[in-house]
Amino acid sequence: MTEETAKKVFDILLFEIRANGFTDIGTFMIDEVQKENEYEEFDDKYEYIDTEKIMSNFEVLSAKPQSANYALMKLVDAGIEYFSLATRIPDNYAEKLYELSNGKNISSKINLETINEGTVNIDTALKNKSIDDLIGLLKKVRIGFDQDDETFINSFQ
Amino acid sequence: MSLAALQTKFNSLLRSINGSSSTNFATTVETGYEALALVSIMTEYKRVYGRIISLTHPTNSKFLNQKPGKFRINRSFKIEFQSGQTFYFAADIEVFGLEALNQKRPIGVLFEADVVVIPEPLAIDVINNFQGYPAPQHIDSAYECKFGSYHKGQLRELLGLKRHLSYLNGNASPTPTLFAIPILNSHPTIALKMVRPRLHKFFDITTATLYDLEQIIVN
Repeated sequence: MTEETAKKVFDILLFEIRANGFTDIGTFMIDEVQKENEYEEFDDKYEYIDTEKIMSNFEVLSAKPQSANYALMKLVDAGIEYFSLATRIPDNYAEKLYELSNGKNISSKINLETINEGTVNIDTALKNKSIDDLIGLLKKVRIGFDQDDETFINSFQ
Repeated sequence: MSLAALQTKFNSLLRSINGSSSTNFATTVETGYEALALVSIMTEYKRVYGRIISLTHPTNSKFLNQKPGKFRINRSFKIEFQSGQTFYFAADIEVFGLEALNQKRPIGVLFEADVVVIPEPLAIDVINNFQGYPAPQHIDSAYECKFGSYHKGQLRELLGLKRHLSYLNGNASPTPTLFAIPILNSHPTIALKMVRPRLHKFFDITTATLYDLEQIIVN
């Protein structure tokens, strides 16, 4: 994928992420901190990085020469991590509850009552097939880093 | 060549995910994450207090309380441990602060905690005398769960909840250490933790130590 195409893809993905309320993905663009470095220290270059700031930083970076592929890779990897972790929540919950219950047959549903007294089954909402499809689409973009533009773009037709 | 097909597919999938339930996806994730944190906290209590003698589940698997955030026995997990202690584990509970501790009555503003652990002998006092809202004297530990967003306001929030619930340098009585950090300076000795799926920058070490604050990872 050329830098020019990477920039276009970055802008498209970021626009849709913002427009559809998925900016939490930005949190996963922040470099993960190791345990020994988790405590904030002030220095002359102090800059507090948060979800909004990191996306803006990468948006600026994506417009710089030879940086669009890197910015796109960070955005795509963040999306894959966000949705992968989210969709695993119900199974991880069920597994931990099963262990606590000493293997007894127990209900591992997570039900949420909404304000209008409806019930949302979180298992269903977070194990939605569309999430798998979305992760698949983002992985396809990732494959595009090793493809020429034509092959990459045609793979979405 | 056009990237319109990619944009249409991406947009369509995002819309589909948001439209799959009556709450938006980000909210659903945050709520589901509270459930995962809650069961992970129960696992930590098992490590500290020993084998589980009995585990009582919330009715109809409903424990993610929305408003009004009152502690309810049938919306909580109850676990009796080998050590002889029994605790309630509840989600989305609003809690009174230090004035309610001092006056031993429900008074003052309420702040929400995502997970609250209450020793079983104190639960009746919460329900009968505090209108269902725990005060500091009823709380063994409390947790703020943040899956998606990360910003400085969350640290202020955690620090604010800490000062709402505990005095500083209150001659903390020795309690079992939950997760990694012992409670040294808080009275009452309430463990208060930030729960995230991955580590981010936290307070400076002096503030974290002074206020007994800790960031724990659950995923």
